[in-house]
Amino acid sequence: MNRNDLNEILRERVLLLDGSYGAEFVRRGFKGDLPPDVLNLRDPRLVKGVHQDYVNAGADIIITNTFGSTPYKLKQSGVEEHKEIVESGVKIAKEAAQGKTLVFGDIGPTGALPYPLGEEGFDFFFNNYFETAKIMVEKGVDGIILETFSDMLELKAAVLAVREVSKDVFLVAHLTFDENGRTLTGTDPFNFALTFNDLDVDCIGINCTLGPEEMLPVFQELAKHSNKFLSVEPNAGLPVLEDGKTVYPVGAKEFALHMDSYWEYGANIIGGCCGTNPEHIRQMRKTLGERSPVSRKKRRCSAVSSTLKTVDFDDFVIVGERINPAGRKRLKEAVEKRDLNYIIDDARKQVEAGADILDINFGIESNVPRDFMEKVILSLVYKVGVPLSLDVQTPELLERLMKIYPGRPLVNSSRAAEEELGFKTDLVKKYGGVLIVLSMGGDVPHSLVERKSSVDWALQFMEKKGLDKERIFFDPIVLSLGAGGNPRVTLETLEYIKKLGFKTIFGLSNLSFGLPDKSFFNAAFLVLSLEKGLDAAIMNPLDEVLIKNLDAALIILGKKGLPKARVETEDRIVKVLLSGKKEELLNIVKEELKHSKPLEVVDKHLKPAMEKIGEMYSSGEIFLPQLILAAQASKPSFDLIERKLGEKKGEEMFIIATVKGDVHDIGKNIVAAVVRSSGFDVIDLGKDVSTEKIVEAVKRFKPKALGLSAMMTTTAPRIKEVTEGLKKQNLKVVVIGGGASLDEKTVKTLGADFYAKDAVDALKILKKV
Amino acid sequence: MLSETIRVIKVDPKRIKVPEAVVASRLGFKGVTSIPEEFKEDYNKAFNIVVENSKPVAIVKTVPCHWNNTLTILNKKLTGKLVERHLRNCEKVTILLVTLGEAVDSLIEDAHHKGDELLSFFLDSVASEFAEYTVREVDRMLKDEETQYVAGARISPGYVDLPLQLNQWILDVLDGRRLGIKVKEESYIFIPRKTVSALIGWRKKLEQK
Repeated sequence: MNRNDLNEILRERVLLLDGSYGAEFVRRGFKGDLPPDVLNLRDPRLVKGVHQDYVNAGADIIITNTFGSTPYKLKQSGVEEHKEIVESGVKIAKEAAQGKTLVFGDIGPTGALPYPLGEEGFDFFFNNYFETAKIMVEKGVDGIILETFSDMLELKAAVLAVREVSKDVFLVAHLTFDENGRTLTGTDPFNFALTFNDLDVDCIGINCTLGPEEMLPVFQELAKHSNKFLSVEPNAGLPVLEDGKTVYPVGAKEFALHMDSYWEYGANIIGGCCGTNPEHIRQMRKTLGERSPVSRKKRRCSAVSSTLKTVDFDDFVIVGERINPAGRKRLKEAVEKRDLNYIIDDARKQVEAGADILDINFGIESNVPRDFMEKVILSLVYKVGVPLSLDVQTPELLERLMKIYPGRPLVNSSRAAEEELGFKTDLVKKYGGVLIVLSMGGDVPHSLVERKSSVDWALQFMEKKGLDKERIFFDPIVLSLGAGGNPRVTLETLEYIKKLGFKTIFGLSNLSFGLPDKSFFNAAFLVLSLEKGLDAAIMNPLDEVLIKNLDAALIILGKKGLPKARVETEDRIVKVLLSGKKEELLNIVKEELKHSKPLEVVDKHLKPAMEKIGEMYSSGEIFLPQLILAAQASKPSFDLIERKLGEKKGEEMFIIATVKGDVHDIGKNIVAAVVRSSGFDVIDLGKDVSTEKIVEAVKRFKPKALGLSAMMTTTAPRIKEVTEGLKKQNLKVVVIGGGASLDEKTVKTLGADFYAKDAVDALKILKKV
Repeated sequence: MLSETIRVIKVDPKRIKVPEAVVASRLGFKGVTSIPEEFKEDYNKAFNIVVENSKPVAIVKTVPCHWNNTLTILNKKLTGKLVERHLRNCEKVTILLVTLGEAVDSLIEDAHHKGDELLSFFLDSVASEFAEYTVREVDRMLKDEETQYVAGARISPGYVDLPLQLNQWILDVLDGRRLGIKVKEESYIFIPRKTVSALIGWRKKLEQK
């Protein structure tokens, strides 16, 4: 079956893959004294028997018994018959399938780790997979599945190798993740999805290491960010030792119960890995039946990555510029002497100083051996763990470095000229990456008109090429002030590009080239550019003046939080709140009340502590139950303060209710608890509350704000009824809407002023108004 | 067997296995495979309360249906993307209602009124997943019994474009009131809250893939 047909089928149906082979061979008498792949030659009937059992159990796809069949891996076990094993593997599977079940060629990792974690380079991996995939395609597999890989570079090499063999074979690429949600070499599912969204694979997924329960959150994360078909093969639980034997504890029926969850999150191909057998597949067939996949939205994300780290451009990004021999004698020497350690140290200093990405420029590239440049790239990615911006001039070198880059790089850059932009667009489409396009075609453009025209032309050109919008950044070009460059034109170009909805980045240091007091010029211009919406700058992170100005500007523009002088009591209270120790907090508050007024205790201690906890929740440092626990722990202390204060203060009052017809109140209760724990006086009217009652409460208590919760699409219109009721009575109150069926746009159409996605959001709004 | 008569199936709550990772995700513990240690006690407490106080019951009825660009079941026409995607060309449809009963709702509310929002939240989350996994258990029982037909996906009102209003029809068809199930006027939410409705489509098994 060709790739297009299979893609068509997967849009209509979820397919069932088979289960494990090794344990089944052992169960049927294989002693395990040889690599299981050798059975393709020594005992093909045994292999065929397992295939047939999976076919009879209802598998739509069976995979060849070739998991370890790369030339290198077989040789490690003293086996030389690579070609024969792979050929026989495909033949046996096809015989068992009898044309009714699909056959995927199975390829596992070589077992070697890439440089600098191991000794092997990209070509070693590429060649191993190329040789194996070539035989499989020649022998007519319906697809190829790359399974149980633990490193993105090795998997990328395998993908590119398969595509070198055939553009028409259906291709699945899997990584395996630990319980901490990362692969052995540190990649998380978001990064996996991001990197492989760019590559020419049909389906990505996860297999092995984890059972169906443990794998689910990892799969959810992958599904959230991937644009490809999704596949999954969990183990039958986490292995346990019983009487000296490894046992996988999850039985067939229990295993199958998890399948609905994978389907719900978008799985298109589902199977089993270690510990699963034909009975698992039979039960899965029953559970899955014959069903269509869930529709998923295409995800778009402007981010780059290394194996260890993903950097998105939602916040301002610093690209460290210092790995560039121009004007850096010591670095030039290091490159000449192939002093990798110096370069790594230099990179680390930049990262410690705040660089999110590092720009790499080798100077005169013809003077530097290619293998050294590759070593630099891989060492920075794996050892420093930072994504790279490839500032490479020689086209072939750029292609090579993009090919071996483990992650999604920033490609710096291309002029808006047909030949160059065409070539570089093709490279990012083939190898992955985000391309920076200069707002210049030929000569350096001095006017806004020229730059706008280059941007417009480039956009049209790349649209025809089919490169996704989120993978195109524009550089408005900074020219040297000393050489007559006009920074105002850069700012105007920047504004123009932002209006078009694209990310922007420039090389900041060009501005002050040849000028004294470089730091001040650079800092001033950076601040002006931030105001116009600049997303990233290639700059010197070790320049303290620059960094301090950047931080200050980001704070002023509301893009970064205000630094706070941390007081010991606040930290202590945060700790007590997060551990839910009501009594301990009450004692602290009583102690404070001996020498402070009640409102001072709230303003100086309780509010800042809850604010800190809110920030921790927003940043993902703590989870919802911790937020609720903290809110709950603060209640007795607030009650005590309230008693001391006597009368409640109207301007700090918040009324909340779930609208008429809706009986969901968990979310509303959490908002009430969190808002209360920040010192507000909260009146909770409850759930299923009539519009009249809500309007009446607002009239009576005159609160600072009204929170309305509606979970269902059927109850959301009640919010409008309330806002209109308030208007009719001329009651002015800030209305905040929240609930699963709502979003920013909907609440506005319902007449509310704000949308709060969660309790902390509601609190932020309350503080703002 | 897929039966046209209404069947009431009582499910032993002790048989329902809910993966901890699934509850952890509902509680907002993102990307973790188990409940963090400091909340284990709260989780176990909530889980035991739900098991002890749930009375899971399913009401099931399978009826023939007709597909002609829209699906007709018992003279009711069902349309939309979800129906088109998952019930197209079905020959029969199982109409399903599962409830955990009223006691769990009361306990969730009690915890809230006592100011124990954490317990209330944990009970609500555990019970929601408990209801979902009860449906899965019943779904499996039906598939275990059936040999002639193969099932598609289970779909529920309120998801994608299958209207919540359908809950009223499902309640009427299955005569759910005799088990104390009601549909809230206007919003079409079930009472007791931990009640789930679903439709499962069935097609004749084919020899050839």
